Amino acid sequence: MGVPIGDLLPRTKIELEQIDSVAIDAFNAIYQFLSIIRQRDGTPLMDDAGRITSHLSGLFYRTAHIIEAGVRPVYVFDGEPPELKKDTVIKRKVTRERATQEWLQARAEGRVDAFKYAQASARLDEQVLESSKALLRYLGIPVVNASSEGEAQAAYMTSKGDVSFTASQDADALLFGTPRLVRNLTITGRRKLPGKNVYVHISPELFELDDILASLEINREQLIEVSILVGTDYNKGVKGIGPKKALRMVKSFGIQRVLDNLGESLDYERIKQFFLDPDVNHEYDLKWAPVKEEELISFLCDEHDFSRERVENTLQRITGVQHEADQRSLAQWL
Amino acid sequence: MFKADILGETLKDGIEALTIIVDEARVHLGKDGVYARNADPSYVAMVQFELSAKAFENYETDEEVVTLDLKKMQDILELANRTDVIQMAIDDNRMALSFGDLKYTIALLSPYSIKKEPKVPKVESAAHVVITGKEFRWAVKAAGKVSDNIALGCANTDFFMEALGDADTMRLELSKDQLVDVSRTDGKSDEVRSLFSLEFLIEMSKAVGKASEVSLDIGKNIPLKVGFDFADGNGSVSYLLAPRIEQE
Repeated sequence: MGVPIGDLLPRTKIELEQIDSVAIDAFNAIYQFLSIIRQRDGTPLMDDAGRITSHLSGLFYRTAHIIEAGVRPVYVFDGEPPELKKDTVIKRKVTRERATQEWLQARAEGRVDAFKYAQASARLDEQVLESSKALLRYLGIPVVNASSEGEAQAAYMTSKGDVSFTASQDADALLFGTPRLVRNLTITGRRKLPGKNVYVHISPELFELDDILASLEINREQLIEVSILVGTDYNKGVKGIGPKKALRMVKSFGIQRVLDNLGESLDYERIKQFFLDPDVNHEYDLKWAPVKEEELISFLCDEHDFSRERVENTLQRITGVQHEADQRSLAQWL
Repeated sequence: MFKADILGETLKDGIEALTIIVDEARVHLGKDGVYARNADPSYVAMVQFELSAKAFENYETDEEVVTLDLKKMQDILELANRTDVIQMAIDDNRMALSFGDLKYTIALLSPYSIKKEPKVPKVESAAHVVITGKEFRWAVKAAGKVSDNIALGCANTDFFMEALGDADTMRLELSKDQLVDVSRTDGKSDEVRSLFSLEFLIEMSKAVGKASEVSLDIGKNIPLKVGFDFADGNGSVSYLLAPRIEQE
C-alpha cells in the first residue's frame, strides 16, 4: 500500500506532546489495527457474537493514548476509490482472499506462519467501518468522509490549516501536498517484529514537505514523478527502477525522457494531476465534543464484551485531559 | 540610561498587576512613561500595562527596552513601605533599587530569555460593564467556594456572574441601576456568556480589588477584557483572558 519512496525521505523525531491537532487516515489506521491486533494463531479479537473487534480495541486504546498526550485527532475516511485505482483494488482483493485461504490452512495445521497470512487477510468491511465511526462518535472525535482518497482529504485539511498534521503510514499524503506528515502515530510503543521473537520501540516520525523537497533538490511535481516511476496505487512502477535511480533520472532528464528512453508508455500526466488536484470534500465540521461515557461503555462493554474495568480506567484518563483541553488559547483570536 | 523616583505604593501595585500573568517581562521605558505587553506561557492570559511618566516623582530615560525579573523585584519591595519613595536607576544591564537605607543592585535579564511581545487578539465584545473593584473581587471569591470556573454574562443590560460546581451553585446578578455603567456594544439584548478559569481570575481580582472601578468587556465564548486604573489614573492595566469551552 502507498508509494514506496520512504527510504528517500529525510525525517525527524516528534513527540506526541508537540502535536496539537491531526487528521488521521482512518482506513490506514484501522487496517493497521486489524492486522496487528490478533492472537498468536492470527485469529482477530472477537466479541461473544463472533464479530471482529480488533479495530475497536486499537481505535479506543490508541486514540486514548494520543488524547492523553494532548492531541486532538480527526479521523478521515476514504470515499469512492478513484477510477485510477481500479486495478489496485482488484489486486488487493485477490491477495486478501488468497491470504485468507492460506491462513485458515496454516491455522488448522498449527503452523507458525499463520499470523503472517492472517495479517494479509485483514479487510475493512461495512461492519468494521460502521462500528469504527460509532466508536469515534461516542469519543466525541470528528469524523470526515472524504470524496475520494482519505490521504488527499487529510492533506487538504492540513495545508488549509484546519489541523496541524496529517497522520498515515504511507507517504502518499506528501504527494497530495500535506506540509507535515506523521508516521507511527497510532502504533507508537513496543512492537513485536512479524515472524520474529524480537521487539522494537516504534516512535512517531515527522516528514516535512518543504524540508524533503529542499533536501532532494526537487519540487513537488518532481517528487510525484519519482513516485510514478517507482509505482503508486494508481500505476505499476517501471521495472528495474528503484527510488534512488528514479530520483536521479527525474532530476537529470525529467519523466518524459526517462519513459521515452525505456520505451515505456504511461499516462503519467493523469496520475500527476490526480495528486496535484484530487477530489476533496470542502464541507466538513471539526468539532470535538465531550465523551459520551454511558453510550461508550454500553457500546464497548455490553455490545462488544470489552473489559469494563479497563475501559472505565481509560475513560477516566481521557475525560480528565478533555477537561483541561476545554481551556482555549488567545491565539484563536489573532 | 533610566532614572526615576516613584512612590512605593505605585511600584508595588504596578508590579503586582504584571506578576499575575508573568514572572519576567519585557518593559518599554519610553519618554512618556512605561509600557509593557506580556502573555503567560500557555497564552491563556495577557496583560497590557501603562504607567505615565506623571506617576513618577522624577522620570528620566534615554528610551530603552529592558527585561525585568519581576518576581525578584516584588520580593525585594516587600521590605519597602507603601509610603517610601523608591529610587530606580538602570545602567549597564543592572538596576539599582534604593529605599530607606537599603540599596539593591539586580541584574537585568537577557532580552532573549523571554518570548517576543505577543500580538493583541482581535476581540469584539457584546457588552461593556463597569462595577466596583471590591464587588468584582468579592464575586470571584464567592465563586471559588463552589467551582473552578466562573461564567460572566449579560442578559440585555443585566450583568451576572455564575459558578456551577458539581452540586453547588453561586449566582450574582446586578441590574443596570446596581452597576456603575453598562451598555450593549453589539446593540442586541439576548444573553451572552463566556466561561473562565478561576485560577487566573482569583489572581487578577487581587489587583483589581484595589481599584475603585473595573471595566469588563464580555461576549459569547470570547476572551474577557478586564480593565482598571491605578496610580490616581496615571496607570492602566488591561487583562485579556481566554475562555473555556462550556460542556454541552
